[in-house]
Amino acid sequence: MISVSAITKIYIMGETRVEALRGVDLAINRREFVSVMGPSGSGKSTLMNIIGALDRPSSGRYFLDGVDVSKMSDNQLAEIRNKMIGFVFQTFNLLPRMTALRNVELPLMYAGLSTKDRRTKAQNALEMVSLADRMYHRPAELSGGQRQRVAIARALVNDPGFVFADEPTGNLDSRTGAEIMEIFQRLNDDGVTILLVTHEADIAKHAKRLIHLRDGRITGDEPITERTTYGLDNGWAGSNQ
Amino acid sequence: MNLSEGFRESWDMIRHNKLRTFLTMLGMNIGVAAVIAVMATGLMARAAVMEGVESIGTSLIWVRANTRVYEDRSNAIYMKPEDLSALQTEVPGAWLSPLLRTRSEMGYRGYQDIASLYGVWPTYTRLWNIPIAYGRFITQQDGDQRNKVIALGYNTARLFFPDEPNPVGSIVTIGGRAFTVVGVVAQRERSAIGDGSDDDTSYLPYETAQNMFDWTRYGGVRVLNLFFKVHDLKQLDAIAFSISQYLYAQYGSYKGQPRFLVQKAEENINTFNKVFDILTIVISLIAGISLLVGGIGIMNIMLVAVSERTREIGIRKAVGAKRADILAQFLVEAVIICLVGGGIGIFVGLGVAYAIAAVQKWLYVFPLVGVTLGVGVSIGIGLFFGIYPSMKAARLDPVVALTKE
Repeated sequence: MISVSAITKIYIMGETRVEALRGVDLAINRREFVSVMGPSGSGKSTLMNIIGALDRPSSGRYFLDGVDVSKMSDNQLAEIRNKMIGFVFQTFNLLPRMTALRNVELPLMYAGLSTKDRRTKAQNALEMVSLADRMYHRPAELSGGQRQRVAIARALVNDPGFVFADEPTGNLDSRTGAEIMEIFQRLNDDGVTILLVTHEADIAKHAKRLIHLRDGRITGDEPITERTTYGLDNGWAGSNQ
Repeated sequence: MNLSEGFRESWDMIRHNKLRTFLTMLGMNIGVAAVIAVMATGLMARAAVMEGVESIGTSLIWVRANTRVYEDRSNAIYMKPEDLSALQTEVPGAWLSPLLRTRSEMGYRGYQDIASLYGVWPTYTRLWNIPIAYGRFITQQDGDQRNKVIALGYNTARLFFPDEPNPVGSIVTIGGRAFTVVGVVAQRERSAIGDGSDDDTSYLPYETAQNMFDWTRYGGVRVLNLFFKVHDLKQLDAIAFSISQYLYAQYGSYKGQPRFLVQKAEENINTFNKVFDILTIVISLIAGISLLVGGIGIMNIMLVAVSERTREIGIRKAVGAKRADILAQFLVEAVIICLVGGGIGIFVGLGVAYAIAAVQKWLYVFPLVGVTLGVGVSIGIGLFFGIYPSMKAARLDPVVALTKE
């Protein structure tokens, strides 16, 4: 589980001192699906960077599955990101020169897997997002939705317990966005803990719990009662209709 | 990240930016090619020199006026013809022959060309091993009677007698005078050190050549070059010393400097080696500058690559790349650019050396040391100039890198 206490993050930019987070306490259990909402500048991305082990808090403690992450070295953080966390970004962040397959293999390469194991696992991950037939395409040859599915396959390939998504539907039309959200819901049903950062209320409603952030503080934290769900029993979301 | 993965990614990058990478490599290409060509040429030239020296032996002594000591060369003193007979008796234990080099118009049945002529004694063939293809070499009688006879150089014979393989007995004109061809010298492997002769050199009796030569600027008949070949190599130093003694007794010295150079063959080899060493150093220095500039170019391109791929670095870090992974990736890329550049340079250098060997008829020697050095230097430059950009890449903060557009 994720356990954050009294976390602050202060950026010094020349003379100005920006307090992005002003003491955040948060606990997220395994298998939760949490949306974080807030206007821009509310600190939601900063919070995700810290929880995602991309960044360290200025003060406060962060425990991930009982391990203190807030004091880890760069290499230890890299290890955490590699093994325990998968990221999905608004701009997909795929490497343009590589095929979908190699993009998905990337975390496995840094995990030190053999070429053969990488290939098998990456293929499985792409099949899970219904992209088996696009494996050898480069990002430029894929649609936005397909790119984001490649990114999701990459986030999942190392079987992390946590997937953090920062505005994953921000660059997609609403229908494709819905497909992506369907995939997240399915993943959550399979036991993956998901933290979703968004400023769109419609998207946030796909989660089970909603956290509001404003000026670096949590201003609201409640379960979502009217959750948007899809007919998940009909099989995998995002399959090519 | 393993090495083969690094190679694969670097290769992708290089292919992706072909022109840019090629231009970056140029400095490396030129530098390495120059080093390889110079080293290979040096090896081959030395081998050829040693071969030449071994064929004539180290038992030669070359005597000539030490013209360098005079501020005004017209003051130089040269040996006189009577010194020849005197030295013959004063210095036993050696064959000797004077050499008078000149060029003159030669003609045969309307065909005219400038010929390189060596006026020598018959002993000259003992000194320099001149092989005869047809007829004979100059004899004692030819000299004594100032016969107008000539032993043609191999190429000269081919040039003047394209249809007659054996022109012995034919008459050619030299400076308007009729000469009988008495022999043709066989084709020789040209040696880089020696008397300067080659397959274009023809031989006349020394006395005949002396009579034809215009001696006005020497103030009379002189001996310009004199060669000795000692019978016993152990006597080489002693004989060289007696020659110097004799000349000093005859002509004294000039401002404390000997008026004549008495050079042993091995001294010439040493001189040659020294000249070649200096040449190698100078060209290597120029190549070194080229490599330095090439290296800076590579550092520059790597810095550009790091800046261009900041986001990529962020992505890689986000999915678990450690500092060392990123460092290795960029370092491998820099080294590969250098290795490819250096590799092309090695091939170009080997090609140049091969062409030189073919033209000079030298035995081709593969410059193993040069190639090893070329590969080593390439890797070294890649590492040295790649480390800073790679460290810069490795140190990037993933959050900052990911937000870079």
